[in-house]
Amino acid sequence: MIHMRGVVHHFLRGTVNEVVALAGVNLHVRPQEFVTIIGSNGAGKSTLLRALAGVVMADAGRFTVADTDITCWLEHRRAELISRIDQNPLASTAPQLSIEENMALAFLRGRNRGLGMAVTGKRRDVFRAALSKVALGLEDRLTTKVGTLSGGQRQALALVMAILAEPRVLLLDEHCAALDPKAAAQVMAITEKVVSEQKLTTMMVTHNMEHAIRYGNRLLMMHKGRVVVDVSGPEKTCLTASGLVEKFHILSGEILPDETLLTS
Amino acid sequence: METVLTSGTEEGLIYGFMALGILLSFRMLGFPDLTVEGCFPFAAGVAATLLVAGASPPVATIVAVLSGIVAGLIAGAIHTRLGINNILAGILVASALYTAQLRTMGRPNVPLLNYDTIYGQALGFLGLTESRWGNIAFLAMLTLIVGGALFWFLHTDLGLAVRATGDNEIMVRSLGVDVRDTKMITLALGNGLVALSGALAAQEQGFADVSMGIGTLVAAAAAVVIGETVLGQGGVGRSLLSAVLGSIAYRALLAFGLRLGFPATDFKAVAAVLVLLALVAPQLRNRWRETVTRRAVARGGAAT
Ligand SMILES: Nc1ncnc2c1ncn2[C@@H]1O[C@H](COP(=O)(O)OP(=O)(O)OP(=O)(O)O)[C@@H](O)[C@H]1O
Ligand SMILES: [Mg+2]
Repeated sequence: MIHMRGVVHHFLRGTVNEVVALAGVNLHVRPQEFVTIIGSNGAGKSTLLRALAGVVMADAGRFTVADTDITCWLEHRRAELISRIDQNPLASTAPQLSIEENMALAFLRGRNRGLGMAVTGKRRDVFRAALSKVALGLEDRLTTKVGTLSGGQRQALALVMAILAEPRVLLLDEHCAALDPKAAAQVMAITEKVVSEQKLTTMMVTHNMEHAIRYGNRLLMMHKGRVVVDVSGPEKTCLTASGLVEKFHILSGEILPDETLLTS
Repeated sequence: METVLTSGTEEGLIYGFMALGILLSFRMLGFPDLTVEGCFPFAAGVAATLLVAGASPPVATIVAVLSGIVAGLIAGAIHTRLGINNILAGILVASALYTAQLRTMGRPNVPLLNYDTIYGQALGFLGLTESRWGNIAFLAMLTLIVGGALFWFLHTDLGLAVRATGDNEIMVRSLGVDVRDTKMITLALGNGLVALSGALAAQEQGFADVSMGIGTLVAAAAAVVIGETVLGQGGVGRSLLSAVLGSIAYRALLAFGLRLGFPATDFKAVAAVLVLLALVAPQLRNRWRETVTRRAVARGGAAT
């Protein structure tokens, strides 16, 4: 479903502050695979998702989604196939608009927008049904301005908006980080449910080791712009949080050379 | 006093279209569109030249509006396709429009005193006699039609994308909207409205002049800001209404000032101060609140 080949990206290129955010990533994600991604701060996780969604145009590398080469597509065109929630809770919703207006914007993701009414009775029913899945009571506050919601509520709304138009690929960047533990568990459960129901191919960045292990069927660890651990299937089910944390520390301290880890 | 109110209302309605245009570009998109400074007099010049050449008032007015839309599209293209800073894009187009207007009119001022205007025609059509109140009735109807159309457009899928572009551009792009297009649409609509205002102003005052655009952006922004202060910010309907009412209030103030003997030119500075105050007011309010809280904490009181 997703092919990334030789993806390289630098920030502030040619200056003394140059950062190699992605140092050559090769990744093939199969249809309906649910990949969790962990890694220390600055490992390049967000940049990887942003490069795939076209928010940043990678310096090098090719991207293919659903057998279509999207390397040269700009972000708004990639939105047809890819839906992404940013790790910043303020980035994925429009504060001055109401909940229903935000939903109406997401309803037509990647499609042409014409002169039909954005919020109709019929669409409102769809919005209400979709919002009731997150059970935060947002379905009863359709005309509330999104700017008045809490960060967690906004992120939950962002999840509903991300899956409303049934994308092929769902990219989640720490979408539960702003939520309290109970809401986070709830939103994760909903994420898992819709991912399997809508047969989405998903990549999810998280700092929560439990989530990384429990959800999904493949786990990647990134370090310094590379994928250094890639486990899936039964091997992933056997991972433990403490084992992962240990790997994490080893990588951060760089006690072992990368080769050792790649074969672990 | 009565003339202050009637002339304030009449001019306020004429400049209300400009306030609506500024509401779209400046308030909704956050684009300080200086194109309007050239677009307003240019549209006036186009309308006046056409009237003198024998065109019917509605045709002259519509062509003027179309010329404003084109000006907005050009400024939008310069900004979004060539990546030129928004203020500079507007200044470039306004500057070019100055030449275009002089070329169109052939001289700096075109008088219209003996020509039939849109007011005369519309009032004749409605069976009313020409008077200030008649003009006000016609302008109010036109405002209702244009405002209603805007209200409808801003609630469509495309209009919602236009509004959202100014609110959270990052999100709108991620939802598959080419924000270059929504920005161009906003500027086209905004300048179309400003052009309508220019064509109506020329026909009301009986001339078009190259210098009539100076300070129009700030004056219109002041009108929008006054409306927001009085009516408060809210949904689309309230924003549209407050822009028009703000424009009427601003023009009534101006007429009142003229009555008191202040020259009209003084109002450019007043408008500038008003807009500045409105822009910094939220910051000042926050800073003041912080200071109060800090003092309360320092005094050992509970900061709430
Ligand atoms: N807009 C930017 N400008 C400059 N450098 C950037 C920018 N965005 C990211 N970087 C740099 O790129 C590197 C990778 O950043 P990225 O956001 O992908 O990390 P991450 O793995 O998502 O980290 P976190 O877990 O903290 O979110 C970091 O060193 C960061 O400083
Ligand atoms: Mg990140």
